[in-house]
Amino acid sequence: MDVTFAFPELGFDPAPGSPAALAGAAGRAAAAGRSHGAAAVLAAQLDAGWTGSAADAFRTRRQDLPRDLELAAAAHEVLGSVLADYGAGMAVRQRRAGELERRAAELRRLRAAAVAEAAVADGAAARARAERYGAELDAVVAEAARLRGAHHAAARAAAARIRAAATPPYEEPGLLGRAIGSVRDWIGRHADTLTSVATVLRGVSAGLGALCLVPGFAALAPLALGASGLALGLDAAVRAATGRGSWAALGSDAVLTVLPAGPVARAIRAAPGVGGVLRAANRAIPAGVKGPAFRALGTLPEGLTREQLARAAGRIRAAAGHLGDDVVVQGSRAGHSARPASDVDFGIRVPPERYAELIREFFGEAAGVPGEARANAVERGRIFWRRAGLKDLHDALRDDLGRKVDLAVIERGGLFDGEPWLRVR
Amino acid sequence: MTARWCTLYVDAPDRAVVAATRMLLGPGSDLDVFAAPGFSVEVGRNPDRTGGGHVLDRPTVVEVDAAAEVGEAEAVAFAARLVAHLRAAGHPVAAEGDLADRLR
Repeated sequence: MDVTFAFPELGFDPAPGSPAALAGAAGRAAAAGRSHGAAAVLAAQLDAGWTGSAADAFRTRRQDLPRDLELAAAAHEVLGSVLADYGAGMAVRQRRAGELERRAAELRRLRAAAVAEAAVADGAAARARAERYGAELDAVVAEAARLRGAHHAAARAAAARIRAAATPPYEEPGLLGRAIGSVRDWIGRHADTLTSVATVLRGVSAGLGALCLVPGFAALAPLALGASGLALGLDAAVRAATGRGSWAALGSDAVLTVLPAGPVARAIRAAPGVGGVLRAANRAIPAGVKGPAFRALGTLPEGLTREQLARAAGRIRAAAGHLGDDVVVQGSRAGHSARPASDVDFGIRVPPERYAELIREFFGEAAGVPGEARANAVERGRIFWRRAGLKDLHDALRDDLGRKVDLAVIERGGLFDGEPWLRVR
Repeated sequence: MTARWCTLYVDAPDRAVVAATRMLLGPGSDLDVFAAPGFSVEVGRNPDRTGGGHVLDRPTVVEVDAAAEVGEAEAVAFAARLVAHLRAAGHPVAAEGDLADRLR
């Protein structure tokens, strides 16, 4: 409200306005700020305990409301404060303006008297007073003008503070912002599904994480790590986008993520009693499951390095390639249930017709082998290394590996062609 | 044909057979390979066992090899001494291989 009083002596109003009106407006703005603040608190609690698709949809739509209400509350609080300050300053300036108006009136009166006196008497002294009063009046008017300038400056500063408070601090989002917003919206709409997927992944990760501790299944560690990492990512994304999700779930994801990691897995395996439990778990898995699983995972025979296996493969190809090229490791080292002193059981698998040929070659009449030994080889489907003329190869493999070695020709489908086995390449 | 080797199927745990062999031939290697002049003897768990009652299913095997310069009679004598020693230690033994017929 612009209230102008009469200032005939100064010729203008140095500080127009109504402090009372400003005080009233400031009070109403502060009250509105308090109302908006209370509404923001209520809006933030609207969906507490409400779950499901409808809740998700509501959440997605109302997510900006508490923030906007808080902004409105803050803006009104600032408005009230600025108006109150401006009104108080105006009151001070108006009191000063009244003082200047009264002083100007007095000086005008004194100057008029001096001018009148100069006209009827010795005029020099009176003219001098009249001039002094005139100069002093000019100074008062100049001060009033400065007061008016200060008043206008205070009005501009208040207006700027009000505009700053009323301008939202968020801007129209750019391309990246819109993309992030779209992702947040999508996550918000699919939060239930994503949480369910994370739960399943957490279960998968826990299973794989435990299984990868079992001898022979270490190759599952990356899969367990990937599943838990994905679960962690999904839970964190849902939490960031919607504020939903428990810290316990995130902690569980994090624990599962580090569980298969090398140092942690080694520490778990080394814990008292754990090794025995893990070996028992290995033995509880049927050989018909372990063999294909280990082959799919690319598991190496227990206790052998890739280099040792490649060197053994080269030796066997060179010395026994004429017998067959399907070379495998069988038994406990293939099943990762070996004891420290267990043999490495190499087998050269051949089809039945080839096996029959080799029986004739190694156990025929020309070989001078007793019939019982031949019958055993036929019945069992296994020709051990000495009968196959592989003693030198056997000894070389034993010396290379530093382990006891067995080596035999195995009939495919025979008694000794069983799981688990791992191919030697 | 000159006899060069035989496999002994022993009805005793491999550690017991290693201990008995050590008493006869002295200390062996870490892989339970024993050396005697003209011979090598290797003790190990029987890879042929299937859980049946055949001698081929006995838990431990002893591989006896004679060097090329060793005569057949000497080889048979060495194998026979080893078989007798193991049997004296209480371990049933059956032989298979070049020398087997001569050991019966």
